[in-house]
Amino acid sequence: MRNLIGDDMVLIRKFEVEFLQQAKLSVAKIVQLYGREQFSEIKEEAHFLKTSAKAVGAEQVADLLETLEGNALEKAKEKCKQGIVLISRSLKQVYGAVKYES
Amino acid sequence: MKAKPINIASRHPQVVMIFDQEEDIHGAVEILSAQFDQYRAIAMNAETTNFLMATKPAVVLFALKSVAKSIEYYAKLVEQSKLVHPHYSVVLCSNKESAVAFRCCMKGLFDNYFVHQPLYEKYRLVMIVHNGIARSSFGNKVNEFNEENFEEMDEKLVQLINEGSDCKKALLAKVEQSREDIIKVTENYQPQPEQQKLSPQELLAQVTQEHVKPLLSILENDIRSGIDNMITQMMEAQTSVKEQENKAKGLVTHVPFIKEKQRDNEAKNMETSLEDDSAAEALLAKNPLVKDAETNSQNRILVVEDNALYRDMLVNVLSKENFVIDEAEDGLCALKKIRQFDFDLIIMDLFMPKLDGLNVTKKIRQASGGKDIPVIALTGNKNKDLIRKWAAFGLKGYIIKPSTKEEILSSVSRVFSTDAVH
Repeated sequence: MRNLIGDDMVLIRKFEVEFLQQAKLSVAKIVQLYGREQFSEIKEEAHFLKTSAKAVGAEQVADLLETLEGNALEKAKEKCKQGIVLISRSLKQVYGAVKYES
Repeated sequence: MKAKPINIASRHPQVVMIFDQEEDIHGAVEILSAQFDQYRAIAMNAETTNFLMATKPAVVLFALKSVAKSIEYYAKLVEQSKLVHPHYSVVLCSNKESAVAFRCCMKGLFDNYFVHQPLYEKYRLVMIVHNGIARSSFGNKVNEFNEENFEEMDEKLVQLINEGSDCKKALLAKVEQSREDIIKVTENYQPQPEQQKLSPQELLAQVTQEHVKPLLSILENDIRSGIDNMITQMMEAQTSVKEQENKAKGLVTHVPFIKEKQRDNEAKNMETSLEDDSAAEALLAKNPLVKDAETNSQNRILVVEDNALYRDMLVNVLSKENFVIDEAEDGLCALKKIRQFDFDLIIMDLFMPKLDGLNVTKKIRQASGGKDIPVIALTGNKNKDLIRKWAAFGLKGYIIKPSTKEEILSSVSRVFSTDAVH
């Protein structure tokens, strides 16, 4: 993120918090779509959140979202379920890191 | 001459200065009490620690007799977990101790230092405290995302997924049971004379249509409404988070502008055709930044990106270079703005809801009355075929998301350099 917006710590914190807020809503939406088996929409939402994850430097979350995109494309329901749980856990780690740095 | 008494400004201060002797801190006190309402200076004694724990100030300034004493006291506070809330620590020192204070900050003990004996840079002190308050407030916002919140969300996710799975299993079991029942009924069925014309398959189809499908429909609706209710509960719990998000959005500078005179270079033909790989590759090549801040302020850029967070980042990068920025969250919104305002450049996401990049570009050409507004694509991958398809409609470059500041400014600069040559 420093490569994009520089060393302004206040701005970096602002975008990290915004990412966590966005991720929370986005994961809830993905679960809703999973319940309805709307796999192409899951792929779109995962792609959307992946952009943010890459932008803030949450690489593990971005990788998991890319995997979810692939599984949603193949309509692999069980793998999607596992992916959603892993993404949720990884987001918690991001939250922990942001909290620690603050 | 007798010193003025210390100003005690607030019972619940945001900014607290701890001192040994009043006369040592007189200059700093005057500056801070004039600038910050929620400010207080307290002498170090047996009650100081309790006071800090009770008031939880955002900024704590240590103005003790020596830096060593400030280190000793602050380390004690941290070791004994007396100062655990998000805060910004500043050590005040004399000029001769400035090197020690600097090293303390470099090692991360204090967040900042300030030379107050002699006191020359009063605005720097105000700036340090102001930044400290801002940083602490973000620390508090992060804390609002507490562990329980995430645990609860995790449990609900798993519960939701399992319930969905259970519902499907139950549904399939019922369908199977119904099928077996139908087969039994069909086997035992003695047709009436007028019904003898129906074959078993036809009868099965008829029963499926009249009985099984309505049953499936009812079960599906039950599952959907159950899951929808749970999602609604989760969304309601996030209302406060949305409010925070809206507040945070307000921090980004947004620069709207009104339509001005028709531009002289309206008839300018800037169409670019990228018909082969080498031309597509050329879009990636880096050019030096040639625009200075004064020139940038004359250029107007529309940023079209459905992801608000990434859009905010781009707006931030470009605004700092003095470009005049407007933003749109999807293709339709972008077209509305293009019809209202003149832009020198459009930076647009390739994949967007409502209207994708290619169709927006086509419509831009129609909406701009033949004027060739340069477009830079934002894309998550290097899809050259798609980029080439776009190129026919005036694509001037593309940015792989998320790029660095230098890559973004280089792409923008390249467009304006080409524009200037024409």
